[in-house]
Amino acid sequence: MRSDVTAYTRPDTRRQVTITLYKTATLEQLLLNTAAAGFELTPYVTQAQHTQSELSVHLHFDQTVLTLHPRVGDLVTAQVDGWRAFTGIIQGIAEFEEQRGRRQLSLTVRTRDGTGLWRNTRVLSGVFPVGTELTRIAESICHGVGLQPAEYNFPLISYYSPHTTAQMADMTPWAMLETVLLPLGLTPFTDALGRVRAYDRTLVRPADVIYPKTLTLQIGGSRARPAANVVKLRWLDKQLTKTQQSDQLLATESITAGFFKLEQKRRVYFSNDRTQRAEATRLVIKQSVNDGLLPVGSESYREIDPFQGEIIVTTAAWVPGLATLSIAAMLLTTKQPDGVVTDPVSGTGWTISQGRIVHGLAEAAILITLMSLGTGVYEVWGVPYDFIHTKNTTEAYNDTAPLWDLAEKELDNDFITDEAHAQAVATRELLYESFAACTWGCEIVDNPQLEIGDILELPDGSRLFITGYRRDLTPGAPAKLALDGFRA
Amino acid sequence: MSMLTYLVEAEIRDNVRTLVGKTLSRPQLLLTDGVNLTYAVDVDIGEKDRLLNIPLAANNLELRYAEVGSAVTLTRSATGRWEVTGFAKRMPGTYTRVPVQVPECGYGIPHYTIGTPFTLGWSIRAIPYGDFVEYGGYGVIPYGAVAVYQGDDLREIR
Repeated sequence: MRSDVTAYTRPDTRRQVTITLYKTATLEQLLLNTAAAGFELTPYVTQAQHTQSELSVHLHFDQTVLTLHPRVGDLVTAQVDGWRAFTGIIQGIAEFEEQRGRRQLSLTVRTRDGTGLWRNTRVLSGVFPVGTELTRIAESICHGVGLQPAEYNFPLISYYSPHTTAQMADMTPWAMLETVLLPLGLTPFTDALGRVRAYDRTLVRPADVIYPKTLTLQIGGSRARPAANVVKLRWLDKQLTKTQQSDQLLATESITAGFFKLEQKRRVYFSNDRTQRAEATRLVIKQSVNDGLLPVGSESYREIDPFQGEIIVTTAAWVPGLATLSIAAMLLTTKQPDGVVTDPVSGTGWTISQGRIVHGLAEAAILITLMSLGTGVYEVWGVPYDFIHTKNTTEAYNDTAPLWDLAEKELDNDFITDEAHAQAVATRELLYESFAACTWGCEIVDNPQLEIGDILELPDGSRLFITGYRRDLTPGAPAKLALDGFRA
Repeated sequence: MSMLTYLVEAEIRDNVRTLVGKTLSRPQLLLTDGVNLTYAVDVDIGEKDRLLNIPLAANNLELRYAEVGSAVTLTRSATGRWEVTGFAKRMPGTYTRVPVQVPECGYGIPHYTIGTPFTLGWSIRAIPYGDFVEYGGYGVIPYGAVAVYQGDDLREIR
């Protein structure tokens, strides 16, 4: 509700309407009143009316207007008795016609959120860390589409982004705003001054304006659609959930052990892409390095981290030691001279190499170490697990609605903090949707204070939640305001 | 919301090709022709009811080891049948219903009443050794059995 204006008290009040075209100004300049003076279209206006989002102006013009040539993208404001009733951008020029003695055209002017940038262009938001206020995210989205701080204004409500990082993609900026503001119970809109703001969707609050009987001109209502009596809210839980798979084979490895290396370490990952986590991992020896002639070493395993482990095969020290000693012995015995073995009885004998015996023993030792070479075949088993997000569902339903009247509305929002918050949002949306089916309209003496999202209380105590309004700005039109909404 | 909108939404829902779910059973042999084996699992997709006997896609050995409670992706074939095609990074969590007594349009601030919320979501818990006696005793209930709950209600033991 606007506090910078006052309500009219009589429908026959004569209002001073001014419609101005700005060729070079920006919306920020219009907000800050720093724009160069515009061209006043008022003398040429034959018909004008506006809603909360669109202004239609029909002009009969002369050469001056033709020279000025209104274009799509120019700004237009409508002022009533000095207060701003509408600020927008020309989005369409129609019925342009020139004939003898008559020149006319129609302008369609929409608020900034009616442009393609807000409604059709899919953009990527910034990345917001955990604990970012949701209203700050909304401001960042506005900033991302070129708005300056004066051009948006959101109420500060302390709800924070619950996830480690949050980023929105493939959404229009307006859809992003709606998504971020829904957990706060707010809906974005553009006000009469051209600022992006948000209204409160809560129905359980006092009325903004209590209207006297004398200022209420007409009331009408209808119910053309079924009310949603179930609101299903799906939201991403900020807590990660651990899920496990069955104990299973994660990796296989084969290692050959022998005299050539004392220790062999082999890293094994629990998946080919090295991203699978596992716990309770263990080594299963399908074939040991000690399955040969002699045991040559020991086999062990250790888990390095949740993604990988290490198989360690340690060769016994005697294996390379024996091989080395044997080679040394063989080399040494080559230098030993031959000796003569003499029979003590006959005094005869034969010649024998003294080193041959040692050489033979050394050769046998080397062969034994070679024959003890072993190839181990290993498997690493374990329980793969992962941390994943759960998508929770919170459903608020009308307990009194009959089954045949079931109508469901589904919402999806990942900025919900926890279950209590989800229940509050789902309940609020259920109330809003239940009441919104009961559309209402009324006509009152013009009140520039009213905006969409306001609650108007009528003399009998019934209340109207305003979702739209129409104001006739045609010269000489009565000071009336037509309101659309629903009973709340 | 007009009837046309409802139809459009129904059309969009019908065109859903993938879902994420949570397995409520270990893969079990569903059918075989002697050569090929088809395993199937029960899957919670975040609704009040669960999907039963959803076949696992062929040539995906890892899925055969899916433990109860695993997050899986379901894909719908051209003939409209769902099958489990892989693991997922997301799965259905809690499902809570909140009864609300919505008042009729009246006068003054609407007063509504919120009932006691209750849970409907599917969950699986391994039955501890000490609890076997509650479900028939040791030997009747195999070690490693899991209990399937909907909300707080025990639905079955597997």
